[in-house]
Amino acid sequence: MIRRLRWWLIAIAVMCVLPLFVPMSITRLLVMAAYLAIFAMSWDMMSGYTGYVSFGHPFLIGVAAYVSAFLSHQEGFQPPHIVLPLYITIPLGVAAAVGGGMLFFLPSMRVRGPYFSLVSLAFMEILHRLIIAIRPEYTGGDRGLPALPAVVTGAVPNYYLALGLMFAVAIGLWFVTRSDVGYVLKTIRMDEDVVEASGISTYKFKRFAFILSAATAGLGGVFYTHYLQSLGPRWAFSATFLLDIIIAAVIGGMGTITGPIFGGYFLTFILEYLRPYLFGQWRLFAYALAAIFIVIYRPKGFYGIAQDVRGWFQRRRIRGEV
Amino acid sequence: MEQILIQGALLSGLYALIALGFTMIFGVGGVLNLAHAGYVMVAGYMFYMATYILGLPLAAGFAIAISVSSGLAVMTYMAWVRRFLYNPVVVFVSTLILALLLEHIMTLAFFRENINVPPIVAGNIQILGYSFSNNLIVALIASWICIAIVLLFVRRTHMGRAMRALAMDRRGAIISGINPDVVNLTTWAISGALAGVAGIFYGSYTFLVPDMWVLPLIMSFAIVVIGGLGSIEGTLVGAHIVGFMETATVLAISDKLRSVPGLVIMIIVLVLRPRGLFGR
Repeated sequence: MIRRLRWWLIAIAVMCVLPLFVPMSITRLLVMAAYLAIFAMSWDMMSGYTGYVSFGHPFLIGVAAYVSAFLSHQEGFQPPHIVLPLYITIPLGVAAAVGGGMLFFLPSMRVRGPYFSLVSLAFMEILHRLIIAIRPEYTGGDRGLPALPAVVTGAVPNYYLALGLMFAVAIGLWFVTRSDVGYVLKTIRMDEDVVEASGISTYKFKRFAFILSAATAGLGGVFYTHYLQSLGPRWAFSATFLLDIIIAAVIGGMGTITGPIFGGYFLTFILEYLRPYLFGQWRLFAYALAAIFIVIYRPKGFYGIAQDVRGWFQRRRIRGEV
Repeated sequence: MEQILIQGALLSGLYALIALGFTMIFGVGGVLNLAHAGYVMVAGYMFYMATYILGLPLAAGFAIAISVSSGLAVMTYMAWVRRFLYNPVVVFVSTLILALLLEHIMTLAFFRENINVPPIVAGNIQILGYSFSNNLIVALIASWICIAIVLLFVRRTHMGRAMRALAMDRRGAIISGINPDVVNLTTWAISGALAGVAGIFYGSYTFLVPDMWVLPLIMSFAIVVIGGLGSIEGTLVGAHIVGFMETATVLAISDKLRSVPGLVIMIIVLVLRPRGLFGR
């Protein structure tokens, strides 16, 4: 067991001591990467495993973030209201993500295939519009909510918070997906009718995967918004944010949980390090172009590439011994 | 009221053009092309560039815009979608990124600012005491001519019959000697051309901005779900429901809620009748 996990243990140890050696700017980047990894894992739990592509994760993240931000926000409201402490608003935010997720899960799971994706995107758009249009004095409207309370302050404490959160999510999802549940979910992606025919209720399994995914997205969303200490519809419901999540999961490797972690870090750092070489829009252009090529030529992502490389080494070793 | 009727009819016509191509691709190939609304945006820019920057005649502008969007669609299909018809997830993700890529290209070329396209046909016309721009009326007529051509093509020609056959039963169609690749390619070309026509008029109806593809894409989702994915009649009906609801909302309530009623209807339809109004 230890032998099999040694690379993971080394990686965890390196991650834990990393902020002692790198400058503050990199630490901040690592925090962003950890949150992107959480969102990508959450997407992977639902879409990577069952093949139901969700475009609605910004909706789940947004619901959680808005509920927690709204309840813990201190100023700027017309009537005086109760300001709740974070340890109450964060669970409420996560619960809201699960509840809101069920709301769009129930109608869209009645049908198969692309309908789910279409409905999930519709939910994101509806929430976006409602937040902008309905009572902007409460929701902050287009400008969003500024000056939210933080869970911890400073780059290094935030780094450990994000890292701990990410590892908790990763280990939890890893165990779920390596169990029989994960096996059933993967089979749903391959052929849902066959699973149904073996007497397994695919609906229950999809619901389970979805609740887990929504809770993870909500958890990430709440902590992320309190890390940024601000929340605006412009980033929360943009196509770019949605694509960042999906691309991180896809180039990491769908249906693997470990792949999206790598995808999240890779994406954050590649975007940051391209900054000096390519100006504004060119950087995004190159990023989108590269993402298309990876999706087309390596649909299994980096996880698939890593497996190929490992297989190549193993074959070579066997050939050498014989 | 009259304003709602005319503007609603125009918007419905444009939405029908966009959603028609979207639903045809799904019906024939079984995949959804999320870059479809990206072609609409590119066609709008191409028309603007050809006609108002390069100063070419209108006909040349139309030809360039439509051939560019149709060419883009054909390219998308030939480059990779053809190989991934069995894997809708890859097509989903890759075409969504393609739409974003097109947005970045247009931002690089034309910058992220609103461009007001001058009306294609100048002047106004009085209908029932209200004044409407000729541009609006021409767009309405042009979109219906295109819809009629597509309907005739699908119903009366051999290629149209082959498309319907593929949509009904892929294996049966192949056994009857239909080459699915050629039919798919034709469908993508037609759908790209429809997006081109829609883009020309959509650009002059609103304005050009590189992220203008998001709203038509979401609205064509609502339309095809309401009408039934893959159904042409359903798309026309769905486009009118969504188009009139949107115009009424914009004129009566608020511009900010423009997309909400259509999407709410979509969810209601999905709960009550998951196949859509005309779905099989």
